[in-house]
Amino acid sequence: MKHFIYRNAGETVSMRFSKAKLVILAILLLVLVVMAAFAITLGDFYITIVEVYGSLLHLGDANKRIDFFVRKMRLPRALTAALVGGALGIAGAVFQRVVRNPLASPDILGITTGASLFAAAAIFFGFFGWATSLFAVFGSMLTAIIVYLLAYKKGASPVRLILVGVGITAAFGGGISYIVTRADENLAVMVLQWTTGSLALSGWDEVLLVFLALLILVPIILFLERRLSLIELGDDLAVTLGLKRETSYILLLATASILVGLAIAASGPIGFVALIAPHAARGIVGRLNGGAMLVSMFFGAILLLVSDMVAQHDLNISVPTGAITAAIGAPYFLFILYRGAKNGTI
Amino acid sequence: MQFSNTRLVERLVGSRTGTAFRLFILFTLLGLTVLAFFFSVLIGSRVIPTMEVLNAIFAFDASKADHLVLWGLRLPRSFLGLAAGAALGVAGVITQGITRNPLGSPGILGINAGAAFAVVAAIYIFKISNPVHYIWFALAGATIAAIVSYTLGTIGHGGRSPTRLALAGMIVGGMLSAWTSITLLTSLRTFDQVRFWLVGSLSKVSFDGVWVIGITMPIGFLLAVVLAASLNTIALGDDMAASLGLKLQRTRFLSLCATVLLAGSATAVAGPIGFVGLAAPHIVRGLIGSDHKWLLPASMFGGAALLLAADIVGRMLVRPSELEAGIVMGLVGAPILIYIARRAGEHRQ
Repeated sequence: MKHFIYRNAGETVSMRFSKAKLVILAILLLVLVVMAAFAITLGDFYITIVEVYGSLLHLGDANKRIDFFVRKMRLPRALTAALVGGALGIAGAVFQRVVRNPLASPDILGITTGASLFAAAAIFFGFFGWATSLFAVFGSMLTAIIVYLLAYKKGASPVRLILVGVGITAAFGGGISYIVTRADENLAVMVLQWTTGSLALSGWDEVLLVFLALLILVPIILFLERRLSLIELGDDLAVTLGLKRETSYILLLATASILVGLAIAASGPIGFVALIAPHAARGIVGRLNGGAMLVSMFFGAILLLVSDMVAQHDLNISVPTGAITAAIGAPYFLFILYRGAKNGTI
Repeated sequence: MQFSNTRLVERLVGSRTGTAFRLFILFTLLGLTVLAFFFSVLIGSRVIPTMEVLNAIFAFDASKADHLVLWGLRLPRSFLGLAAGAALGVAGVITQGITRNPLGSPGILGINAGAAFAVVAAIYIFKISNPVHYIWFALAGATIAAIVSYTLGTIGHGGRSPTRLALAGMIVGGMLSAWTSITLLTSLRTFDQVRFWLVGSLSKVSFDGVWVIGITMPIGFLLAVVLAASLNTIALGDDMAASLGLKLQRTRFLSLCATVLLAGSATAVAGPIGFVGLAAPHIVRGLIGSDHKWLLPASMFGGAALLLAADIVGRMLVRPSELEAGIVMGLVGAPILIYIARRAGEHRQ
C-alpha cells in the first residue's frame, strides 16, 4: 500500500493516508457537500438546487428573497451542523483513544455535563443568548481541568480519568437536576432545551467560531495522532517506545476538550455524535490510525447535518436537533455495529 | 466442570488482601448499612424521639401521629431505599463483570433509559397520574430495553465481544433518552408531572403496589449468587473463560436476567438513579479486591448504604424541605468514588 508520509524534524507525523482511505474521504466529502446543498433547498420556501448554486456564486440576477434564505438562514445552519458534527466526531475519536475505552465520550468524561451545568446556572440566573454560551465554554474548560487534576496522581491514568469523569458527571448532573426541578416551569423547559442541543439559532458567528476551531485544532490532532497510536499500545510499551506520556495526555485532552467546548458553545451539547462517529468510522476503515481520524470527523458532520434536516423538516413538532441525533442516529449505528461484528472489526 | 477450576480461577483473579481483612471490610459495610437504615428511620422534617420509634415498631398506636409517620413514610422509604440500593450495587457488579469495562453499570444496558421512557410515554399517552402505577411501566420498559440491547449486541457472526454488548446498550439507551426528551419537550404537562420522578427520589415511595419487587428482587439476588464463580472466570477474558469450560452465552444471558430483575425493580421504585450501580462496585472493589464472591455482597451493602446516605443528606441539607436522592447522589458518591480511584492507584484493573 502506498502511503503519503510527511516527515518533520525526525518525527513521522501521522499523515498516513493510504489510497483507499483517500478514496473514502473523498466520497464522504462528496456526500457531505451534496447533503448540505440538499439541506439548503428544503424548507417552507422551496429553492431549487440551481438557485442555491446561483445565489452562492452571485450568478445572474440577484433574487433578494432567495439570497436571504440561502445566505442568512439555511447556509449558516447547514454549515454549523456540519462543523459542529465534525468537531464532535474527531474529538470523540481522540477521547476514546486517549482513555482506551470504546465507550468513552465527552459526555461521560464530564466535559458536556460541565458545560450544561454552567449554561443551566446562567439560564437560572437570567443570562440568556450568547452569555449562556460563554458560561458553557467556561464550564467545559473548567470541568476538563478539574477532571484532569483529580485524576492526577504521579500522572493521569485512563481508568482514573474515566472514574473521575463519571463521578464529576454525576455530581454536576445533580446540579442540573436541581435547577430543572427547582426553576419555574418556563426556565426549566429552557434548560431542558439548551441541554438537548439545537441548531435553530445558528448564524454566521457560530460558523466562524467552529470553523476557526477546526482549522487550528484538527491539524494539531493529526500532528499528535502518532502519540494516540502509542498510548493504545498500553502505558509500559508506550513509554518504552519514547512516549512522553503526561505531555501527550495533556495535549490531547486539552485539544479535544477545547474543540468540544467551542462546538457546545455554538449548538449546545449534542449528544451521541462523539460516541458513535468514531465507531461508524471504524466500521468502514478499521483502526482509526492517521488520516482515518478524518473519517470520524466526516461521519460526525454527515450525521449531524442529516439529523438537523430531519429535525427541521420531517417532524410536525419543533424538536431540538440534539434529540433527533440519537433518535435517528441509533438505528443506523446499530446497523454499523452488526456489520462490523460480521467483518470482525468491532 | 466449573468446580475443578474454581481454585485456579481464584488464584488467577488474585488478591493481595487476606480473608480476615476482607471479612472486616464486609462487616464494616454491613455496619454502615445498618447505621444508615437507622438514621433513615430517625431523621426527617418531623422530629421523632428514638423511644417513640421503638414504640411504633413494637407497640403500634394508630392514634399517634408519630407512629403513622413512621409506618406510612419513614419505614417504607428506608426499606425500599435499602432494597433499591442493594439491588443496584449487585447489578452494577454484574454488568461491570460481564462487560469487563469500568464504565459498566445497569444504565449501560439501557435499563434506566428504558424505564424512564416507558413511564414518560405512559403519562403522555395514557395520562396516568398515580405514581403507584409507574412501577409496571418502569419494569416493562427496563425489560424491553435490556432485551433489545442484548439481542442487538449479540446477533451476527463471531462479534460477541462484551464491548459490542455494552455499545449496543448505550446506543439503545441513548435513543430512548432522546425519545424521552422529545416527548417531554412536546408535552409540558408530562414534563411537569414527571420531572421529579426522573431525577430519582425516595420521597414518594410507599408499600402500595410494590409487592412485585418482593418477587423480582429475591430472584435477582439468587441469580447473582449463582453467577459469582462464572464472573470470576470471565474476568480472565472470553477466550480463557471459554477454554476453562465456561458457557459464555449462558452466563451473559443469566447476567442480563439478574440485572433486569434487580436494576429494573430498583428503578421502578426510586426512579432512574443510575450512579449507585456504577459507583458502589468501584468503591468496594478498591477495598475488598476483585473476587466476585466478596465483591457481590460488599457492593450490595455499599450500594444500600450509599443510596440511603444520599437520601438522608437530601433530607438534612434543606430542612424542613428536602432534596431528591438523585440530586444528592452525585454529591455524596462522587467524592468517595474519586477518592477510591486515586487511592487504588495503578493496581486496579
